[in-house]
Amino acid sequence: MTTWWHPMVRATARRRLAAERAAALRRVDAWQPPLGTGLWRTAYGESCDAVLAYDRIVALVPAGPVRDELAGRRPDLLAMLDRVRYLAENGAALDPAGPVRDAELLALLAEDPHGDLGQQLGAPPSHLLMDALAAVRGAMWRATEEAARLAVHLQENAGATDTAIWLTALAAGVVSARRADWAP
Amino acid sequence: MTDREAARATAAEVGWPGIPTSMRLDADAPGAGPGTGHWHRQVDRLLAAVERSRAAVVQAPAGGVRDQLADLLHVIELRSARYERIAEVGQALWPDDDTTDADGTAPGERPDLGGAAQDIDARLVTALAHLTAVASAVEQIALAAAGTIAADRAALEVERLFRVSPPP
Repeated sequence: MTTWWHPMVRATARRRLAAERAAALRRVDAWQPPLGTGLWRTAYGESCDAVLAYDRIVALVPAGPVRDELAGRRPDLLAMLDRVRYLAENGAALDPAGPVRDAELLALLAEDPHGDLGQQLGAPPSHLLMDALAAVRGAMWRATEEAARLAVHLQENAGATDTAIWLTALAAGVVSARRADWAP
Repeated sequence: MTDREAARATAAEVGWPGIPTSMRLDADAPGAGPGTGHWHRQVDRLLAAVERSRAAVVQAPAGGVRDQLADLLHVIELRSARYERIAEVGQALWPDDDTTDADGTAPGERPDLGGAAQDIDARLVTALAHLTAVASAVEQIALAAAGTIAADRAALEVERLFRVSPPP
Protein backbone atom coordinates (compact mmCIF):
# COMPACT_ATOMS: atom_id res chain seq x y z
CA MET A 1 0.00 0.00 0.00
CA THR A 2 1.30 3.43 -0.97
CA THR A 3 0.90 5.97 1.83
CA TRP A 4 0.85 9.78 1.66
CA TRP A 5 4.43 10.07 2.90
CA HIS A 6 5.75 7.86 0.10
CA PRO A 7 8.20 9.97 -1.97
CA MET A 8 6.35 9.27 -5.22
CA VAL A 9 3.02 10.35 -3.77
CA ARG A 10 4.53 13.48 -2.29
CA ALA A 11 6.29 14.30 -5.55
CA THR A 12 3.03 13.89 -7.45
CA ALA A 13 1.24 16.12 -4.95
CA ARG A 14 3.97 18.75 -5.24
CA ARG A 15 3.70 18.70 -9.04
CA ARG A 16 -0.09 18.99 -8.84
CA LEU A 17 0.17 21.95 -6.46
CA ALA A 18 2.76 23.60 -8.68
CA ALA A 19 0.53 23.08 -11.74
CA GLU A 20 -2.47 24.52 -9.88
CA ARG A 21 -0.47 27.52 -8.78
CA ALA A 22 0.85 28.08 -12.31
CA ALA A 23 -2.68 27.87 -13.71
CA ALA A 24 -3.93 30.36 -11.12
CA LEU A 25 -1.12 32.74 -11.98
CA ARG A 26 -1.92 32.49 -15.65
CA ARG A 27 -5.46 33.52 -14.83
CA VAL A 28 -4.23 36.35 -12.57
CA ASP A 29 -7.15 35.82 -10.24
CA ALA A 30 -7.18 38.27 -7.34
CA TRP A 31 -9.61 36.05 -5.44
CA GLN A 32 -7.66 32.82 -5.70
CA PRO A 33 -5.17 33.07 -2.79
CA PRO A 34 -6.56 32.82 0.76
CA LEU A 35 -5.88 36.43 1.80
CA GLY A 36 -9.03 37.39 3.70
CA THR A 37 -10.79 40.68 3.06
CA GLY A 38 -8.22 43.18 4.31
CA LEU A 39 -5.11 45.01 3.17
CA TRP A 40 -3.34 41.91 1.88
CA ARG A 41 -6.13 41.18 -0.59
CA THR A 42 -6.10 44.80 -1.76
CA ALA A 43 -2.32 44.82 -2.21
CA TYR A 44 -2.47 41.55 -4.15
CA GLY A 45 -5.35 42.87 -6.29
CA GLU A 46 -3.33 45.99 -7.13
CA SER A 47 -0.47 43.73 -8.21
CA CYS A 48 -2.82 41.63 -10.37
CA ASP A 49 -3.95 44.92 -11.96
CA ALA A 50 -0.40 45.56 -13.16
CA VAL A 51 -0.51 42.28 -15.15
CA LEU A 52 -4.01 42.96 -16.46
CA ALA A 53 -3.02 46.48 -17.54
CA TYR A 54 0.10 45.02 -19.19
CA ASP A 55 -2.07 42.58 -21.13
CA ARG A 56 -4.40 45.37 -22.27
CA ILE A 57 -1.45 47.48 -23.41
CA VAL A 58 0.23 44.63 -25.29
CA ALA A 59 -3.07 43.98 -27.08
CA LEU A 60 -2.96 47.59 -28.36
CA VAL A 61 0.57 47.33 -29.73
CA PRO A 62 0.53 46.71 -33.50
CA ALA A 63 1.41 43.13 -34.44
CA GLY A 64 5.14 42.74 -34.97
CA PRO A 65 8.42 42.11 -33.18
CA VAL A 66 7.81 44.73 -30.46
CA ARG A 67 4.51 43.14 -29.53
CA ASP A 68 6.09 39.68 -29.57
CA GLU A 69 8.89 40.91 -27.34
CA LEU A 70 6.43 42.48 -24.87
CA ALA A 71 4.29 39.34 -24.84
CA GLY A 72 7.43 37.31 -24.20
CA ARG A 73 8.11 39.35 -21.05
CA ARG A 74 4.79 38.46 -19.43
CA PRO A 75 6.24 35.47 -17.52
CA ASP A 76 8.58 37.94 -15.75
CA LEU A 77 5.54 39.78 -14.41
CA LEU A 78 3.93 36.49 -13.39
CA ALA A 79 7.07 35.55 -11.48
CA MET A 80 6.86 38.86 -9.62
CA LEU A 81 3.17 38.24 -8.96
CA ASP A 82 4.12 34.86 -7.53
CA ARG A 83 6.48 36.68 -5.14
CA VAL A 84 3.71 39.11 -4.17
CA ARG A 85 1.41 36.19 -3.49
CA TYR A 86 4.02 34.53 -1.27
CA LEU A 87 4.51 37.73 0.73
CA ALA A 88 0.78 38.41 0.98
CA GLU A 89 -0.03 34.87 2.10
CA ASN A 90 2.59 35.08 4.83
CA GLY A 91 1.37 38.53 5.85
CA ALA A 92 -2.24 37.39 5.96
CA ALA A 93 -1.22 34.41 8.13
CA LEU A 94 0.61 36.70 10.57
CA ASP A 95 -1.75 39.69 10.63
CA PRO A 96 -4.99 38.93 8.78
CA ALA A 97 -6.25 42.51 9.06
CA GLY A 98 -3.01 43.95 7.71
CA PRO A 99 0.23 45.30 9.17
CA VAL A 100 -1.54 47.37 11.82
CA ARG A 101 -1.87 46.94 15.57
CA ASP A 102 -5.26 45.91 16.90
CA ALA A 103 -7.21 49.07 17.82
CA GLU A 104 -8.64 47.53 21.01
CA LEU A 105 -5.20 46.48 22.20
CA LEU A 106 -3.86 49.99 21.56
CA ALA A 107 -6.81 51.50 23.47
CA LEU A 108 -6.13 49.24 26.45
CA LEU A 109 -2.43 50.06 26.42
CA ALA A 110 -3.21 53.76 26.24
CA GLU A 111 -5.04 53.45 29.56
CA ASP A 112 -2.00 51.99 31.31
CA PRO A 113 -1.00 54.20 34.27
CA HIS A 114 2.70 53.87 33.37
CA GLY A 115 2.16 55.57 30.03
CA ASP A 116 0.97 54.80 26.55
CA LEU A 117 2.75 51.50 25.95
CA GLY A 118 1.18 51.30 22.51
CA GLN A 119 3.69 53.92 21.33
CA GLN A 120 6.54 51.62 22.37
CA LEU A 121 5.18 48.67 20.43
CA GLY A 122 5.93 50.21 17.08
CA ALA A 123 4.79 48.65 13.84
CA PRO A 124 3.91 44.94 13.77
CA PRO A 125 6.51 42.62 12.20
CA SER A 126 4.33 42.00 9.15
CA HIS A 127 4.92 45.57 8.01
CA LEU A 128 8.26 44.33 6.66
CA LEU A 129 6.34 41.91 4.46
CA MET A 130 4.10 44.74 3.27
CA ASP A 131 7.14 46.89 2.48
CA ALA A 132 8.66 44.05 0.46
CA LEU A 133 5.34 43.49 -1.29
CA ALA A 134 5.05 47.20 -2.12
CA ALA A 135 8.53 47.13 -3.64
CA VAL A 136 7.66 44.21 -5.94
CA ARG A 137 4.29 45.76 -6.80
CA GLY A 138 6.10 49.00 -7.67
CA ALA A 139 8.49 47.11 -9.96
CA MET A 140 5.54 45.44 -11.67
CA TRP A 141 3.83 48.77 -12.32
CA ARG A 142 7.07 50.29 -13.59
CA ALA A 143 7.31 47.48 -16.14
CA THR A 144 3.70 48.09 -17.16
CA GLU A 145 4.31 51.83 -17.48
CA GLU A 146 7.34 51.20 -19.68
CA ALA A 147 5.17 49.02 -21.92
CA ALA A 148 2.64 51.87 -22.11
CA ARG A 149 5.35 54.39 -23.02
CA LEU A 150 6.59 52.06 -25.72
CA ALA A 151 3.04 51.59 -27.05
CA VAL A 152 2.59 55.38 -27.21
CA HIS A 153 5.97 55.85 -28.87
CA LEU A 154 4.95 53.43 -31.62
CA GLN A 155 1.88 55.59 -32.31
CA GLU A 156 3.82 58.84 -32.40
CA ASN A 157 5.07 60.39 -35.57
CA ALA A 158 8.22 62.32 -34.90
CA GLY A 159 8.06 63.92 -38.34
CA ALA A 160 4.58 65.30 -37.81
CA THR A 161 5.55 68.87 -38.61
CA ASP A 162 4.19 68.75 -42.14
CA THR A 163 0.73 70.07 -41.24
CA ALA A 164 2.07 73.35 -39.89
CA ILE A 165 4.52 73.76 -42.78
CA TRP A 166 1.80 72.90 -45.29
CA LEU A 167 -0.73 75.39 -43.89
CA THR A 168 1.85 78.16 -43.49
CA ALA A 169 2.88 77.68 -47.12
CA LEU A 170 -0.73 77.56 -48.23
CA ALA A 171 -1.51 80.82 -46.40
CA ALA A 172 1.50 82.43 -48.08
CA GLY A 173 0.29 81.03 -51.40
CA VAL A 174 -3.12 82.68 -50.95
CA VAL A 175 -1.33 86.00 -50.29
CA SER A 176 0.70 85.58 -53.52
CA ALA A 177 -2.38 84.59 -55.48
CA ARG A 178 -4.23 87.67 -54.26
CA ARG A 179 -1.34 89.94 -55.15
CA ALA A 180 -1.21 88.41 -58.62
CA ASP A 181 -4.99 88.65 -58.96
CA TRP A 182 -5.24 84.87 -59.42
CA ALA A 183 -7.86 84.50 -56.75
CA PRO A 184 -11.39 85.96 -56.77
CA MET B 1 -22.21 41.19 3.09
CA THR B 2 -20.14 38.54 1.29
CA ASP B 3 -16.37 38.25 1.67
CA ARG B 4 -15.85 39.72 -1.79
CA GLU B 5 -18.08 42.68 -1.02
CA ALA B 6 -16.18 43.24 2.22
CA ALA B 7 -12.84 43.02 0.38
CA ARG B 8 -14.04 45.53 -2.23
CA ALA B 9 -15.21 47.89 0.50
CA THR B 10 -11.81 47.67 2.19
CA ALA B 11 -10.00 48.19 -1.13
CA ALA B 12 -12.08 51.28 -1.91
CA GLU B 13 -11.18 52.69 1.49
CA VAL B 14 -7.50 51.86 1.94
CA GLY B 15 -5.96 51.14 -1.45
CA TRP B 16 -5.21 53.31 -4.43
CA PRO B 17 -8.19 55.33 -5.66
CA GLY B 18 -11.06 53.02 -6.47
CA ILE B 19 -11.23 49.24 -6.39
CA PRO B 20 -8.54 47.23 -8.23
CA THR B 21 -9.89 46.14 -11.60
CA SER B 22 -9.03 42.53 -10.73
CA MET B 23 -11.44 42.70 -7.77
CA ARG B 24 -14.36 44.42 -9.46
CA LEU B 25 -17.68 43.03 -10.61
CA ASP B 26 -17.95 42.40 -14.35
CA ALA B 27 -20.26 45.41 -14.67
CA ASP B 28 -17.51 47.67 -13.28
CA ALA B 29 -14.74 46.30 -15.53
CA PRO B 30 -12.71 48.88 -17.50
CA GLY B 31 -14.37 50.01 -20.72
CA ALA B 32 -12.83 48.99 -24.04
CA GLY B 33 -11.05 51.43 -26.36
CA PRO B 34 -10.84 54.88 -24.76
CA GLY B 35 -13.44 53.83 -22.19
CA THR B 36 -16.33 56.06 -21.14
CA GLY B 37 -14.56 58.60 -18.93
CA HIS B 38 -11.55 60.89 -19.04
CA TRP B 39 -9.83 59.30 -22.06
CA HIS B 40 -13.08 59.24 -23.98
CA ARG B 41 -13.55 62.95 -23.29
CA GLN B 42 -10.05 63.63 -24.61
CA VAL B 43 -10.90 61.75 -27.81
CA ASP B 44 -14.16 63.72 -28.12
CA ARG B 45 -12.18 66.98 -27.93
CA LEU B 46 -9.76 65.77 -30.61
CA LEU B 47 -12.62 64.75 -32.88
CA ALA B 48 -14.31 68.13 -32.32
CA ALA B 49 -11.13 69.87 -33.54
CA VAL B 50 -11.05 67.64 -36.64
CA GLU B 51 -14.73 68.33 -37.25
CA ARG B 52 -14.02 72.07 -37.03
CA SER B 53 -11.36 71.70 -39.74
CA ARG B 54 -13.75 69.68 -41.89
CA ALA B 55 -16.46 72.34 -41.61
CA ALA B 56 -13.95 75.06 -42.58
CA VAL B 57 -12.81 73.11 -45.66
CA VAL B 58 -16.41 72.77 -46.86
CA GLN B 59 -16.86 76.55 -46.58
CA ALA B 60 -13.79 77.34 -48.71
CA PRO B 61 -14.62 78.30 -52.31
CA ALA B 62 -14.11 75.52 -54.85
CA GLY B 63 -10.64 75.61 -56.36
CA GLY B 64 -7.01 74.85 -55.70
CA VAL B 65 -6.99 76.11 -52.10
CA ARG B 66 -9.98 73.95 -51.18
CA ASP B 67 -8.41 70.92 -52.86
CA GLN B 68 -5.22 71.46 -50.86
CA LEU B 69 -7.19 71.83 -47.63
CA ALA B 70 -9.17 68.65 -48.41
CA ASP B 71 -5.91 66.74 -48.89
CA LEU B 72 -4.66 68.15 -45.61
CA LEU B 73 -7.86 67.09 -43.87
CA HIS B 74 -7.03 63.49 -44.68
CA VAL B 75 -3.64 63.90 -42.98
CA ILE B 76 -5.33 65.47 -39.95
CA GLU B 77 -7.76 62.55 -39.72
CA LEU B 78 -4.92 60.04 -39.82
CA ARG B 79 -3.11 61.97 -37.11
CA SER B 80 -6.26 62.15 -35.00
CA ALA B 81 -6.59 58.36 -35.31
CA ARG B 82 -3.05 58.03 -33.90
CA TYR B 83 -4.00 60.22 -30.95
CA GLU B 84 -7.10 58.10 -30.39
CA ARG B 85 -4.93 55.01 -30.08
CA ILE B 86 -2.69 56.86 -27.62
CA ALA B 87 -5.82 57.62 -25.57
CA GLU B 88 -6.65 53.92 -25.68
CA VAL B 89 -3.22 53.16 -24.21
CA GLY B 90 -4.05 55.68 -21.47
CA GLN B 91 -7.31 53.85 -20.76
CA ALA B 92 -5.51 50.49 -20.75
CA LEU B 93 -2.98 51.78 -18.24
CA TRP B 94 -5.23 53.93 -16.05
CA PRO B 95 -8.87 53.05 -16.75
CA ASP B 96 -11.44 55.75 -16.09
CA ASP B 97 -15.12 55.27 -16.81
CA ASP B 98 -18.16 57.40 -16.18
CA THR B 99 -20.27 54.23 -16.09
CA THR B 100 -18.87 53.17 -12.71
CA ASP B 101 -17.71 54.69 -9.44
CA ALA B 102 -15.46 51.68 -8.78
CA ASP B 103 -12.58 53.53 -10.47
CA GLY B 104 -12.59 56.08 -7.66
CA THR B 105 -13.93 59.02 -9.66
CA ALA B 106 -17.44 60.32 -10.03
CA PRO B 107 -18.82 60.61 -13.59
CA GLY B 108 -17.20 63.60 -15.31
CA GLU B 109 -14.53 63.94 -12.65
CA ARG B 110 -10.93 64.08 -13.86
CA PRO B 111 -8.82 61.22 -12.39
CA ASP B 112 -5.72 62.16 -10.42
CA LEU B 113 -3.27 60.70 -12.93
CA GLY B 114 0.36 59.88 -12.21
CA GLY B 115 3.44 58.41 -13.90
CA ALA B 116 3.12 57.31 -17.52
CA ALA B 117 -0.64 58.00 -17.52
CA GLN B 118 0.08 61.64 -16.71
CA ASP B 119 2.66 61.76 -19.52
CA ILE B 120 0.15 60.29 -21.97
CA ASP B 121 -2.46 62.81 -20.89
CA ALA B 122 0.00 65.68 -21.33
CA ARG B 123 0.80 64.33 -24.79
CA LEU B 124 -2.90 64.39 -25.68
CA VAL B 125 -3.32 67.93 -24.34
CA THR B 126 -0.46 69.08 -26.59
CA ALA B 127 -1.99 67.19 -29.52
CA LEU B 128 -5.35 68.84 -28.88
CA ALA B 129 -3.76 72.30 -28.77
CA HIS B 130 -2.06 71.60 -32.10
CA LEU B 131 -5.19 70.22 -33.77
CA THR B 132 -7.12 73.26 -32.54
CA ALA B 133 -4.43 75.52 -34.03
CA VAL B 134 -4.68 73.55 -37.28
CA ALA B 135 -8.47 74.02 -37.31
CA SER B 136 -8.06 77.76 -36.72
CA ALA B 137 -5.46 77.95 -39.50
CA VAL B 138 -7.74 76.09 -41.91
CA GLU B 139 -10.56 78.52 -41.05
CA GLN B 140 -8.31 81.52 -41.65
CA ILE B 141 -7.13 80.20 -45.02
CA ALA B 142 -10.69 79.30 -46.07
CA LEU B 143 -11.84 82.83 -45.18
CA ALA B 144 -8.88 84.36 -47.01
CA ALA B 145 -9.57 82.20 -50.08
CA ALA B 146 -13.17 83.39 -50.05
CA GLY B 147 -12.00 87.00 -49.76
CA THR B 148 -13.82 87.45 -46.43
CA ILE B 149 -10.63 88.52 -44.65
CA ALA B 150 -7.36 89.97 -45.93
CA ALA B 151 -4.92 87.29 -47.07
CA ASP B 152 -1.99 89.08 -45.38
CA ARG B 153 -3.81 89.05 -42.07
CA ALA B 154 -4.67 85.35 -42.44
CA ALA B 155 -1.02 84.48 -43.22
CA LEU B 156 0.17 86.34 -40.14
CA GLU B 157 -2.46 84.63 -37.99
CA VAL B 158 -1.48 81.16 -39.28
CA GLU B 159 2.17 81.89 -38.56
CA ARG B 160 1.26 83.05 -35.03
CA LEU B 161 -0.93 79.97 -34.39
CA PHE B 162 1.88 77.54 -35.12
CA ARG B 163 4.37 79.61 -33.15
CA VAL B 164 2.09 79.42 -30.08
CA SER B 165 1.02 75.76 -30.59
CA PRO B 166 3.82 73.93 -32.39
CA PRO B 167 3.29 70.35 -33.55
CA PRO B 168 3.67 67.83 -30.72
